[in-house]
This record gives sequence, structure tokens and C-alpha cells, in this order.
Amino acid sequence: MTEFRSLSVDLMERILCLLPIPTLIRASTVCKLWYSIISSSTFSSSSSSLHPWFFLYGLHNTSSKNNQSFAFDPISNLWFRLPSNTSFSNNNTTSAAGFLFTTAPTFSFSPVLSRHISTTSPLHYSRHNPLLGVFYSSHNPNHNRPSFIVVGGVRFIGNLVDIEDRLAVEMYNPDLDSWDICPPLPSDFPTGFSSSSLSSALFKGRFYVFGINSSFVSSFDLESRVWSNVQTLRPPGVSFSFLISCKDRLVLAGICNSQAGSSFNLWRIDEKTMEFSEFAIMPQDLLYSLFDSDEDDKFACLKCVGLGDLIYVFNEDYHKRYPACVCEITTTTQQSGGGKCKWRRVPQLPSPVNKFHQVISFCSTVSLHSILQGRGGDAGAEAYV
Amino acid sequence: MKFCTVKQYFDDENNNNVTNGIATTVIPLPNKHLKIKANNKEMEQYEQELLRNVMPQELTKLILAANYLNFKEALDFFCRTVANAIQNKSVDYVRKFFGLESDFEPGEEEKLCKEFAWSFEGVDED
Repeated sequence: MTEFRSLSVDLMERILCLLPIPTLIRASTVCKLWYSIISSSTFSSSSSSLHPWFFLYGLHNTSSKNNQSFAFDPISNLWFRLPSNTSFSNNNTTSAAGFLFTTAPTFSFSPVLSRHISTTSPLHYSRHNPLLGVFYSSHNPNHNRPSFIVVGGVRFIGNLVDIEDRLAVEMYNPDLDSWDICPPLPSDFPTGFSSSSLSSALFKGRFYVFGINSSFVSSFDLESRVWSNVQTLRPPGVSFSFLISCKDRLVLAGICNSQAGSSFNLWRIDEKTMEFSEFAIMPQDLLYSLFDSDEDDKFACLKCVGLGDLIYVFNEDYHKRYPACVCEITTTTQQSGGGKCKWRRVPQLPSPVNKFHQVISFCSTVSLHSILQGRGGDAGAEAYV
Repeated sequence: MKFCTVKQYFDDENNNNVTNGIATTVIPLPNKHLKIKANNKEMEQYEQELLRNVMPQELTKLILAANYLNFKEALDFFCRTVANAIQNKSVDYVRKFFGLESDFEPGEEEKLCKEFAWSFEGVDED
């Protein structure tokens, strides 16, 4: 078996890049050569950007030692229990595009699964639970520094939520470490805890905001910094839905009621015209396997997140189990609506799973480089958890 | 093209890179590939059959042969086989498989394992 040593670094790398991320993290501890190959910024696990992980953070309101965090890797098809020193709370933790954010009292971000935290200069209006987008501006000479857009959210006056305040949109300039004020979300959208009633998607230079129940949609042009008119995006029969930015298409995912019953459908949305075309329906038995009760309104506890080629659907009220399924959009065709989908159940969470009062869920790409090189330097104050 | 290197191999008499045994395994692959290129499932079955008779140690030779012959599909396939063989295995198993030894400073390896302890869950028993 020692002949493997005779493989060149090139060939070793060829084998290694076929492995899923958790295997690679373990493999980096084999020897110094492997650590340097795997943690190099030019090394990447193939297709990792199209197969984002699914994260579930469970919160206990009174006893924080009962908090737990889990991460699902779709390539190895395994759940991982994350270390309990990840500190978070429902009010100030948000996630977007590979990062975790704390938005109040200060604004800080860290790549998912890395312990490296960067803090920016404060927002003009620090807020809880906003919608967040991450993008890389073409004007930015240093392409590695992300820009952020923060929309909505709430401010607290004492212990009460300030509902009158329509908070300005703020956009982060990484070169100047400063925030620019932009026009706020159109008033058709209610103020309040944004992520429970709104879903957002960043697609082709626009930040879309979509009302999960209201079906209102508006998009913010990141260049011109203007909001589009508010429209309604609701295919017939839809009771609630989520807007998701996938690799090459904007997708609407939600529950659709018809004579035949309820189903969970996916529509491709044309970002210019907001026209929709249905391209997938979750198999009925898979949908019903996410519930244990037969109540009429059981579908209301479904949540949906997605990125790249994957869309995750799960039941956020099914305590201790949180059953989920994932849809992989396999082919992309030039025809409108094209694309084949493969649906499958996500395996059970590893026990024990505590009882939670709230669950934060999100979908995110995972950067091997950020995890292994958590000691990288960046502008702004830095800290390790 | 796939066949240039093969021709070169036959022309070059003093070739140490590809032994005869390996040649008989790798060389027929291009033909078979072209024949059943359309049908992926058949190719998979053929590949599984091929590997049933090959020991893991032989895989290095196959990889080196496919690399030398510039035969991308075979190279990808052999590399994928090795990747599958080590995917869920322990770090010690992987070290033995590749004939590698840990060259970390004392304590350095423990620090890494501790930091990434979460990724060590679900590993197969040796």
C-alpha cells in the first residue's frame, strides 16, 4: 500500500477534491502536506458551492445550555452536531450566503463554521432580525471583501418593539468600512420581525423581498439603489410561499391548494416579468411524511430555504424531529421552466435532540478554506469565539 | 487524443511506467467507453466488474497508468474509487492506506482534532 506515496501532489489533490467537506477536514489532520493542500485557497471540494448545507439552530428560552446546533451536509448525507460554544439568539442572528451575522448591538459577521469574527463600523440604525444580502461589488478592487445590504428589521425601545419606525436600507462599503443610507422597504410591506413574514433572495444584482403570506414582491437594484414597484406574485391556489435564489433561476416554493388537495410546488420565476412556470411538485407521500398530525392547518408550519441547486423544506413545529426533505434541481435547460428535480428525505437528526422554543434555520454554502484558515486576517476588529 | 499516448507507448520499448498487467486493464477501456458511451449505467456496471478483481494497492498503478496515458475518464474513475474507499474512514485508516505518517509537532494534531471535533462524528469503525 505504500505505493500511494509515489503519487504526485497533483494526483493526490485530484483524489482529495472528490471528497465531501467533513472528510476533508478530518483528512487535513493526516499530515502536514495534506493540511497544506486542503487548506489552500486554491483547493476546493468539487460542487460544494452548488450543494449548500442546511443548518438548524434550536433555542431554549430560559436555559441556554439546552441550545443545540446541527448542520447537514447533502454530499455525505450526514448531520453533524456543532460545538455548543456557538452563541446566538433569535433576535440578533441572521444568515446569508455563507456567513452568520449579529446585527445588534454591533454588526459582526463570520463565515459559517469558522470561529473567525469580523466587526464592521456600526449601522446607522442598529436593528434586530433584518433581511440580509451578501454580494461582491465589481467596483471593489479587493474582490474578497463582501458588501452587505440590510433591509428592515426592528428596533427596541426598552423591551418593546418600535413598530412606527420604517428603517432605512443600509449598504456596506468594505473599502471605507462605512454604511450608506438608502430608501427603505416600500410601505406595502409591514414593519416587524422581517424573517418570519418575509423571504428574500439576491439574484442578478437585485435584492428581492417577498411576503410569505401576502405574496407582495419588490426588488432593490444594488447599482441604482432604487426599489421596483410592488407587485403580487401568486400562482393560482397558493396559500403561502418563499422566494429562493438558485444557481441560475429565481424559484418560488410553496403550498398550493386545489380540488385534489394540497401540494408543495416549485415555480420558476422570470426575474424581468415576474411570470411563473411550475416545474416541480413534491411527491405526496414525502410531503405527508413531514407531519404527524392530521390538522387542516398543519402546512403552515413548513419552512423553506434554498441556494445553488438545492431547496430544503422542513417542519419547524415538529419538536425533537424537525423532519426535512431536500430537492435537488438536476438539469437546467434553455426552455422555460426546464429542470428535473430529485426529492429525498433528509436523515433523522442525531439524538439527543432537546426541546426548543424556537428554531432558526438557514441554508448556506460552506467554505473549507474559511473553516481551516479561521485565523485569516481581515479589516475591522477581529475576535475568536 | 486518447490514442496518441497509447501509440507512443507501443513505440517506446523501454517503458517502465505501465506494466503489462495494468496495460491489459487500462488499454481496452477507450474502446469500451466509445461503445457504451451513451449508456452510463452499463459503463458503471462494467467499471464495478473491473474493480472487483483489483486490490486497493493496484489502484495506484492504475492511476499512474491512466495519468501517463492521458486517459481522463479512466483517471477520474480510479480517483473516484479511491475517494469512495476512504470517505468515511478514520484518519489512521487513511494514513495506512496511503502509507503516510503524521509529521505534526506534538500537540499540534491534538489542537486540530479538538477544534474540528464535530467533523469526526459518524466515522466508520476500522
